[in-house]
Amino acid sequence: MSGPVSSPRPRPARARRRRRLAVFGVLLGITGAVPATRVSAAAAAHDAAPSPDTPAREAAPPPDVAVPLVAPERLGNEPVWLALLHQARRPIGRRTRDALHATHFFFDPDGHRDPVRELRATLTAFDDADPVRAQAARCRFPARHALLARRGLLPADRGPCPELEGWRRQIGDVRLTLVYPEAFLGNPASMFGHTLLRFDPVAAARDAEGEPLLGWTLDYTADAEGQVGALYMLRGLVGGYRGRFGIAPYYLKTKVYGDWQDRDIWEYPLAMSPESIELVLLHVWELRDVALPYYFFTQNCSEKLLEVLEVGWPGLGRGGGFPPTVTPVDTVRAMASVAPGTLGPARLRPSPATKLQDAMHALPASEIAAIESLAEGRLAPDEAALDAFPPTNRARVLTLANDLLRHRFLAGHVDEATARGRSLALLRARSRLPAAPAASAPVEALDRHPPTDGHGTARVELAGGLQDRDGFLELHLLPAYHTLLDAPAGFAEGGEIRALETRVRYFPELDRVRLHELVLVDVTTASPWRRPFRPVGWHAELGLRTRLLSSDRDRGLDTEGVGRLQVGVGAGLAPARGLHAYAFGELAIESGPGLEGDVALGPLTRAGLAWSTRGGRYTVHGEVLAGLLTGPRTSPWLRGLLEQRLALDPKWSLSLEGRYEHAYDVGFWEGRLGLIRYF
Amino acid sequence: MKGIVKALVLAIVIVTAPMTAAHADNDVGCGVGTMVMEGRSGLPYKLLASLTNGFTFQSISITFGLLNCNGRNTVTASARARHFAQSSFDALARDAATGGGESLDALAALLEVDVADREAFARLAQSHFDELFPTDTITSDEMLDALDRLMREDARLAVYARS
Repeated sequence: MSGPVSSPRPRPARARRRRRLAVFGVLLGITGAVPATRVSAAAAAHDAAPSPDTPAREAAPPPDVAVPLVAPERLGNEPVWLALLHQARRPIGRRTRDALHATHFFFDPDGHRDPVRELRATLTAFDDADPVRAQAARCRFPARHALLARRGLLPADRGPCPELEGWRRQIGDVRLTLVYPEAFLGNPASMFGHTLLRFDPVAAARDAEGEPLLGWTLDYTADAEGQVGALYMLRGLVGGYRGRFGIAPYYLKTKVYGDWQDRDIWEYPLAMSPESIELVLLHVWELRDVALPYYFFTQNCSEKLLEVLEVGWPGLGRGGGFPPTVTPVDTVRAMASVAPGTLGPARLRPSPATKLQDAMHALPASEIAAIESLAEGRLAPDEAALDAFPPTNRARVLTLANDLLRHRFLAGHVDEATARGRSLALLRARSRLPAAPAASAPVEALDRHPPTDGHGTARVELAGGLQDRDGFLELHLLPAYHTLLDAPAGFAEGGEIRALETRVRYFPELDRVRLHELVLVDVTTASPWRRPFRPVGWHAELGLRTRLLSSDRDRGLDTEGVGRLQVGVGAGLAPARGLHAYAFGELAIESGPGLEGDVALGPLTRAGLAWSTRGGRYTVHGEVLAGLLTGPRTSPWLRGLLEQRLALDPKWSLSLEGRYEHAYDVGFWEGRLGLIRYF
Repeated sequence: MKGIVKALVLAIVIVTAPMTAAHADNDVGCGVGTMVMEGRSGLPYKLLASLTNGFTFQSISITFGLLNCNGRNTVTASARARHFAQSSFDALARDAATGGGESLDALAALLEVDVADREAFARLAQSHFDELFPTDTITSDEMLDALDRLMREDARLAVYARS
């Protein structure tokens, strides 16, 4: 790599034609007819998986090899270049385009849709006649510079970039870890989990283990300007917020997710080559001023992180899944599917709350009572009552009492002054006792599974059944996310999220197609009570469904659409392994033309029990609901249902369901059998 | 380099000042943590903090908190150690009391204590807990100063003391 390579004459039209040919070739099953494309694909593949013995970035390959005559139009269409321009996954939309241009992310006015022109413009800018401007451009886009230099289109020397170099030195040599804080059902934005990238300092020789807490994290978040609730969610859906990349020490992140939100965190080491990691880091620098519209379900934290990682793994997560949304779990799975070994084994970083639950799970009642008394201040750490415990147990009791106190303080149950004084007294007493024995493995009270073990988050079901006396066929779509009947591994215990669930039924005898149900959003959290916590569960559902109503016609029943909102509070229990019980008190509101234009309002209670075999292959769920619907057609509302789910393999399941429902003075039975495919 | 650090610190001060005012909290940005139970309290705050899956830290963005903001204290530990101690004060107190833990190890790494001496470091912290955390209003800077003093007096750990 010596001296600038003379730029070949641009032939974009021909390149495009070649690409089209290639597509045709693939479509027609013709292989070997388009050698040029195959070469470029090979180059991309080389980039995607550099062999382990690839020399470090400083050591340039011999010049003859280093100048593989990569024409700009070829490199300009390679996944790695598209990734640097954020065009690899989807075409850039209008608002994103404007936002990118506003931060001068492209040199060419058409750079957002013509990667080859942008590549040429980049080359021109890096070689600007004004040396100051040329240097500024190179320091602003170091990843582009590195890639172009690696491909022999530029000399390797970038020139001095003090700010960039200072930043880069601070991060040091790193490995990558993908971090997944589990779902936090307390907030719409966090319900689907979150993903971050962590740069772990490659341990210095004397520090073989490294300290993950001291790594830096990269994530992409919406700047919500402090807004809360439904409006926030709505704005988020339509891209009403700006998303930004941010870097922060991991110890701040564990505090937010672990300490404040009680979320367990999964950490997956990523096997990316040092060269690719360098390119990713340099690209992060290119993004530091970029603010883009944030879309909850599409252009969210996960998608943007995928875009960054694509720089290191071109072609990552391509083809997408169904539907074209990206939840954080999908990011993790996309990584896992790149190649075996890409994603290392998951490590769990339990939240303080989880640790407390685990630690208290196996303790004798006397210790639990002492812990709670100490945390509540009913017992002082120096009281003689504690002397009954041997020193090891006393140490444990004091430590856990402090942990419990801290949790209660963060939850707002204890004021700060009280918490401070009490905590110091507990820790002081604890410090008098011997150090804890070397980290004994915590009692695993629960089956915990990394998110990669979970079922597909979207599904399609084909079902047939009988409703009242009418046979029907049903198409059931659930784009997201998890229900009690799905295998529980990898999802929040006792939690349910349905978004945009749609059921369309066809009644052959009546020859009618009907939208049976549309659930916009239905969220339930019923985390089981476990010592020392008694979480309050809640439920909120908004959607449309059909109701059978009596009519004057001979058949006696009419179907009518009603809009409905149902909210409630409740609690969950886990009395035995695989068993989940819950009960809710709720309020339902229904309205629709079939109700004579009026509103029905009713209190109800429902309780249910779900049981899964170990591994979640078979699940059965029963629920009874009793309530009242008041309004022009005041009537009791009763419902009993029994559902079963049998997994045939990780992608296919059978469902069998029966229910009886009585509402608006009409009662009917329903039964259905379905086949589910997870995506 | 010095100029860059100064500019960075100034930038952080400017960026974080409004934040600090708005949330009346020193958790991020200039300032020091106080003993014990620092952090924001209350469920509403938990919800607020979760809204953006990260919240205020993002505004700091790629500035990498070099947080020796007041410039008055003698620099007894690196700026990162200060920031870490301030942000992880509760965890450090707990680890010191129990005689070890991930946070105490991370602090030791920031103070450049060899892995072989980490256990001695943890023992020192536990046996001198009362000196490190004498009152419940002590700041993280004061704790670090005390720690530095203790290390200086310790035969094995004296090499890691800054002053």
